[in-house]
Amino acid sequence: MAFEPVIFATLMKNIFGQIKVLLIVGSVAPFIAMAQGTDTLHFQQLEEVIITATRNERTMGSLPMPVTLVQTPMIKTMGSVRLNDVLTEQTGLVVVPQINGQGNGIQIQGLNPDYTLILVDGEPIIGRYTGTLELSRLTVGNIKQVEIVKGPSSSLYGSEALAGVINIITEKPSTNTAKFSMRYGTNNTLDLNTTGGFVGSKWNVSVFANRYSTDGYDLSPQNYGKTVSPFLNYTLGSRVEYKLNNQTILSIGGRYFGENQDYSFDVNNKGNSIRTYGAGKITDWNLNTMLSHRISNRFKLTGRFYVTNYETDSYFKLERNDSLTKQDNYRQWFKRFELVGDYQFAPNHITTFGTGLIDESVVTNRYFGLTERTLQTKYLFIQHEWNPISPLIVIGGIRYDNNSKFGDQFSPKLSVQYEVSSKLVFKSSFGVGFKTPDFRQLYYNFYNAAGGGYNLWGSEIANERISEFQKLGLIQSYSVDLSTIGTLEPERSLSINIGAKAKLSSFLSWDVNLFRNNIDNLIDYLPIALTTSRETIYSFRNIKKVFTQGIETDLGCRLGSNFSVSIGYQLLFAKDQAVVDKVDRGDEYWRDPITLQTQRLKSNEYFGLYNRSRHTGNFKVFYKNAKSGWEGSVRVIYRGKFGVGDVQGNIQGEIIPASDQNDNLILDEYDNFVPGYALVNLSLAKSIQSLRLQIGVDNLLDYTNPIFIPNLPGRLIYGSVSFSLFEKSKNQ
Amino acid sequence: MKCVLSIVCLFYFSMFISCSKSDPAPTPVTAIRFSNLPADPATSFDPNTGAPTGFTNKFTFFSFATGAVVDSPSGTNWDLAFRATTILVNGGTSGAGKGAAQILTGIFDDVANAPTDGYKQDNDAGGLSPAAAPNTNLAIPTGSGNAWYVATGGGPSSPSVITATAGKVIVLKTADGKYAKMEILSYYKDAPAPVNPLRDIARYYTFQYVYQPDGSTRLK
Repeated sequence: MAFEPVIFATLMKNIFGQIKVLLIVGSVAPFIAMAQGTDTLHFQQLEEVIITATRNERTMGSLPMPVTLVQTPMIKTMGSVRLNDVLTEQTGLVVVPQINGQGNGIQIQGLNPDYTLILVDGEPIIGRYTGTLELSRLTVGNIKQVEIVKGPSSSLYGSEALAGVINIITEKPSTNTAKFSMRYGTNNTLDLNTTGGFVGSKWNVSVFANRYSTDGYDLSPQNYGKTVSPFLNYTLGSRVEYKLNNQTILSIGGRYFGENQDYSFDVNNKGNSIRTYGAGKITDWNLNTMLSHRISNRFKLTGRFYVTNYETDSYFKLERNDSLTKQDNYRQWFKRFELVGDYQFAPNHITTFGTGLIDESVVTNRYFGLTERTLQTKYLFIQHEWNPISPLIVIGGIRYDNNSKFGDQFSPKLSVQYEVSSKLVFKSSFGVGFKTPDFRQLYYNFYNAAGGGYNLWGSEIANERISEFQKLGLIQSYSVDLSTIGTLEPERSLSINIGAKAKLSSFLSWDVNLFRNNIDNLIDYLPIALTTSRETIYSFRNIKKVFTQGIETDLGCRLGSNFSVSIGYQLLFAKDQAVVDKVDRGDEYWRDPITLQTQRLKSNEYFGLYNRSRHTGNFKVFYKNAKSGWEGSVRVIYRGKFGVGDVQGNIQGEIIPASDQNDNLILDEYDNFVPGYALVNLSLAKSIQSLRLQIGVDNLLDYTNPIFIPNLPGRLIYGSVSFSLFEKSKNQ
Repeated sequence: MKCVLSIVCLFYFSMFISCSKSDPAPTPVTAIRFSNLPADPATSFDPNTGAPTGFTNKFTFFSFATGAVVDSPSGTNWDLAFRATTILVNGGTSGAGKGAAQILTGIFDDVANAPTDGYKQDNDAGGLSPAAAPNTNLAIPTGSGNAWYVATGGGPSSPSVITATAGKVIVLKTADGKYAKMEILSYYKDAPAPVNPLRDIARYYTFQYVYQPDGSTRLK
């Protein structure tokens, strides 16, 4: 590890030579302060080093692509305990419910949660439900920082890193320490957290345990059951790092997550209430072994082996006679071996390269046959960082992936940064992102008897199932040419980000980024056939052409030495290209839901894709006085109006109506939007030596929307206590 | 939004009124709305799943000349027959009349004259049998996106909804060869918007039509 700072400092010298010394002694250089972004002005004693963007430690200011960094002091001030709490307050990140309005996924640059890769210490977290990784599975109790790279990073990370990458960096002990914290609040929600760090001359160990329990909450008390049922989860983690010699470090880490949840609800349909109960269990663990060896001052190699397993089991039964209505189990494995090297040809030429093997498998009753489904990926990547002249940084990379089912993928990316002056920096980045179809899109075998009845079949099993049905004489008619069914291709995006950072005055900084993402072969499900009992059969195809574009911007202001104020805003247009073309041709209509009169839709009246808000933003004030130990914050988070797609039922048996109410099945200005809303969050904390007391309120105005935003609880009041042993408080 | 909507509607109606005033029509034909024509709706629901049951598989017959449901259909005393999403014309394989149809894309009021050609008759021997298949051999084809409706939902986690697509105008020849145009406005009882498939009862047609009794193609 001794060498990294050398590279880092060298690069820093080349890029911002004049401030290298200041940076190393930990002071605040004017440019670095600006590069830190506005949120963290008061936590400047922490180095703002990001690893995710290049797979190497780089300062925020030297990265040509849009990056957001949230560090632990800020997370503590916010009072956040789960990852969704942290992400929802960042500009351009929108936490959206999964299917049926449950759960929390992340939308980056208007792209669905499916397209963001989520890592912990560089290793992927698996276990997605209909494409969404549940953010609340991840505690932030033991982390150093959250790094968010927007725009495609498939050139380094391969599949799924299409919209962006979120990497949670866990805390590494630098001294013997033990920290305890407890937070208790509304809904009998208790978060207990312990971290320990032990440091020897050749080794260090960190251990971590978190217990989170809640009674859930009920936004629709008129219905039986709760909006979110009570649950309890544990997260345990540990990492041991051993220095074999001056060149070689071995590190072994593991993480376990287990959650239990009990459900009770009514299934309502046409006036009938069918009382149902059930339980769900999630376990998720991983093991991560890493050996890093410095061959020379210029050359370092790191080998990593990562294995992770995700399992869920759940059942639902009728209360009337305890008969099973649904049983579900899902087991997923992901194993990866990776070898990464970095070589410094010259102080201004650094190459990073790597190769790896991924083996993934799933067994579940959701898929056709209880056979194990597997996918293998081999990959190679190379990235070169070049600093030709002092104000210019060029980073280019390409990754090659060979997938056992989908063949070859090439994902290039080029990023350039130019520092016009110490007050103005331009950045731009162009890249290709991709996502291979997931197991669900390949093997899903779903039959729903309720609501008319339908089948949804994965592309790989559709043909087999169709011929079975045909033999039994169950097919009434086909909606598509059958030869087009059965082959899915990876979804690919082409993306551009162009931005600037400007230091407007000694206390005012401005950050802006324009983005555009084009996906030409988005996977969606479509009807392929109809059965003799009039049930539709759906399967997946690469059919949609969509784009997202917009602006994200942050304005930050430092008031005196204790206050920082920031305003963040994202403008977003996310549209289906086929609909845009149809509206432009004058072939799209809408029917007034009251008068039932039909009119032609004008170009500016098409709003775009569902679940996207055109306007989102935040306004934050942070206060921190290291001397007195007081800190506090006021944060206002705004999400503008958005639409919802297909009609769905929610867990309490209510219907979530579709936004479209004018018979064109697209979202236009005359549809029924979910209204925009603002959340106000407050926190106040006082540190007395190693003891820290905090109180806070999330969603002060108690805003709720039971039908459309069930993942948003009402007002949450909490208090927390934390204290640390041994550790000298870093903040003083 | 309601405000914008009502302004738009107001504007729309004032246009319509001023147009009809300046037009010296000899015998005005008027648009008539027919609500809640039952097309074999469910008579009961499964107590466990809520799935609709108790279908009779019978068609409901309609005549443009009388503007009413025909109770004892025979010969040419009916023009259209409705059952679920299937609509038959009284012609071809479905009936003894001259019934035929074609689907236009546009705005109902803008269709001033019926086209003189392009009509299709039903050509499906099994058309009147109980388990009618969605097919494109009918003058008004069935199947999602084929003519006047799109079936959505019925996919992951959502019950199926039949949406009568805005901007689809069905131009018809009646059983006795007269012209008419119709626009289907809703497939659900009392034309709710948006449709709640767990509450709203399907297979009830609301439509508007203009019938030209004088045999000409003029539909406005």
